[in-house]
Amino acid sequence: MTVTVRNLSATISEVIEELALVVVEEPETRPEFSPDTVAWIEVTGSITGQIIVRCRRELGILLASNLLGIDPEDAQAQEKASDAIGEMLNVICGNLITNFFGAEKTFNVSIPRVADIESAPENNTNWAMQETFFFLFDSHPIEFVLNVSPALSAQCSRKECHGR
Amino acid sequence: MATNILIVDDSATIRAMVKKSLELTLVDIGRIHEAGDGIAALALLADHKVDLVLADINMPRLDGVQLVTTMKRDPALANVPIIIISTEGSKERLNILRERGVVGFLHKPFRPEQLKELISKIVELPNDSHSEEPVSYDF
Repeated sequence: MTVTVRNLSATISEVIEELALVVVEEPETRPEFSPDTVAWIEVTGSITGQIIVRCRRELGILLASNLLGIDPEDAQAQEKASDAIGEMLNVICGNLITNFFGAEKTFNVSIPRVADIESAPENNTNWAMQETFFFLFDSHPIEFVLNVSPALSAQCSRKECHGR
Repeated sequence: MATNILIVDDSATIRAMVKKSLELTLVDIGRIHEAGDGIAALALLADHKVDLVLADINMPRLDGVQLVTTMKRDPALANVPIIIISTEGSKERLNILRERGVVGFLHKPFRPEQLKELISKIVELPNDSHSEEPVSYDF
């Protein structure tokens, strides 16, 4: 499968729309926003990589309320906002792996971590490829950073990657 | 007879979502228990009668594969049907789970109707169907 920004976006749209009934759009320009939440997840196996997302907590409230079919003002939606962001990242990561690399390869995926924006994930790896993407989830901006190890990046160009 | 269900997932949101989805099933649901990982699940299974386990794979402390393995080695838990609800797509890992007796797999994201369909099939099975060959639905 050829992995491009276009089908990265397609996978994310498909997963988020199905998971939380949220419409995903690609903004034409980088959205101006001040994220207050960061979440990250790591992948090891045939490749090593990391996905980091930055967004505002309001997006987590929206995800939690849609997942649970409750009002965003509901205390449960507020309480589960961070957890919903972590689970969204977990589901996106799992589906990206399967879509890009198929079912033949086995990967280990870390538990997603969610924190205040000041708590950046440790970054001791010299990632060979780093790409940043922005999306709008029901008009809420979200930033995705994809960090990939040399093993995978050798198969990838900046905007196109041939998943195995 | 009402079916007692244990939901094992480290995401409280997913546990709540699964719990809500269970309300849509036609199955006579008894008690719904929740655990955040495999260790908490085993502790709960030691104290409560559970008829069906719905478990994630990627969890802290004791993951879903380890939970399944531990349950299948325990004569008291070996016949409790387990459905995995996960993003896992690896054929190798799914085969391991099937070999260890998991009766169904639901891929995240899922719709409540899919969970309803899967659970309805499994709880309708006679009890002795779970003791011999594992029955797969969504593998």
